[in-house]
Amino acid sequence: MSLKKTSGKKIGAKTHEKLISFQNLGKQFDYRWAVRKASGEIMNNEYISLLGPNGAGKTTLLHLLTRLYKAHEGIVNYDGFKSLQHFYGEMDLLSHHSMFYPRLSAEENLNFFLRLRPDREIHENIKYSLDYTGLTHVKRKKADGFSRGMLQRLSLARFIAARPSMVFLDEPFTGLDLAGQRMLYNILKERGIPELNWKIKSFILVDHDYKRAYELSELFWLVSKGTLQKKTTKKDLSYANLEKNLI
Amino acid sequence: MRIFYNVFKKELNLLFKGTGFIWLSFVFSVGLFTLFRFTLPAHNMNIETAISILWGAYVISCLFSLLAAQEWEWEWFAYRAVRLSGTAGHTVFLSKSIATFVALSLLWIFILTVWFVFFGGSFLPADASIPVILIKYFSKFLVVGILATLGITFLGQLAAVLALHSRFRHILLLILFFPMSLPVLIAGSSFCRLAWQEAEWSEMSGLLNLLAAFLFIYAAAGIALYDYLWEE
Repeated sequence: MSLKKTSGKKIGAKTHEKLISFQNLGKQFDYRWAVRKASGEIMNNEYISLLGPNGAGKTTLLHLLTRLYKAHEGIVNYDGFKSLQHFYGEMDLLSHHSMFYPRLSAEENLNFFLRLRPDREIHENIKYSLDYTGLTHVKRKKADGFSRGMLQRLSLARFIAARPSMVFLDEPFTGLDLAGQRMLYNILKERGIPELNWKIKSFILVDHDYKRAYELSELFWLVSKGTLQKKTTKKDLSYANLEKNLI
Repeated sequence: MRIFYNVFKKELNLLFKGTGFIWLSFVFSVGLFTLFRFTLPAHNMNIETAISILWGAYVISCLFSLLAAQEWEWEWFAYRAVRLSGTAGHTVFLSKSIATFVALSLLWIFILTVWFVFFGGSFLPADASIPVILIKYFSKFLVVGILATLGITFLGQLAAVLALHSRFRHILLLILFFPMSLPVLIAGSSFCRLAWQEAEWSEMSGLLNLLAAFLFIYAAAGIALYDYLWEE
């Protein structure tokens, strides 16, 4: 696997700088509130798991923070970024939805999406990420011929090539085989890929494997019925208690 | 400009290589012309009917490509990944429109050529040479078609994004597109009829103005509203 070090992200963030803050966020679908009165802050070096049952509003909250959804109430401030464009350039969402063009090849898809982002060494990054995820041999194959797991690996390849510093993860392990899961787990555990000088400053993870979420994160936001019920740290919450809170 | 070109290139790639929709449009128009040319009794066919067939076939063919150009955005939520990059909606609108315009302009040239082959012989003066046909008829049809195509692509992209978040988006797109494209259909076919009768430019310029106004209205509406409309 060829490696090329990139300059990485030089945001000049202080260790405990506030990256994102949101107050009273709300979003409704068909007159039903999916998220209501959600407030919080995401700081530099904070790695958060958003935990809760199905339909609690976790994905909606992630989509509100990434600006995929427009909030019906409340505001989000991207304090740690110079501008919205800067935020977009630094963040990525790795989701269980593949978000690709089925009739383009893996390589064409990566090329297209990475060229929408600012200042990336696209060719090298794509080559590296395809090698890393083991998709080099199928890079010319159309995405609609991929299995569910390969599509998720392709999402992972796009994520690695983009090298975001602010990361949103919505059930990112879905469909991945054990090797793929280990790959992503290591990236999140290492907070990036050190040999590439890629550092994830913060992530917010939605994962239904609570044990894995507990291992990867240091902060836990528990969500129920569209509201953030509790925010706690690893120090204050054992895994056994976390499970009790959720099951 | 880099992003505009990136989206433009991807759209053309999908229109011509990735999906068969543009080719379906080509086949559909030839099929329709064949059907009308060989099944409609000769005494029922006049130049007005032939021009209506040309425009009817063209607008339906355009719809195939416009449906396709939105389908691949919806299918696997690809548009969300575009939005996550922070790309401005109006850039997407313009680049998608221009790419579709290029593809549909080629379709128009093809359809027009086939139409002249199928129907031209019946209505053109017997002594008309190919240069005369090209200058007197084909060129005027070509110009009005290109102008109409630009309007149709802007309208189509706007209608598609209006339908984007609806559960019945395919039907909604049809419902929005056909009535809204009627001015193009009427102005385009009227222009062609007048051109065939060798009318003066002054008689036809009103129709060109109508097409120009149509395209400016939908281009402006798209640029102004696209960012708002593709938010969820």
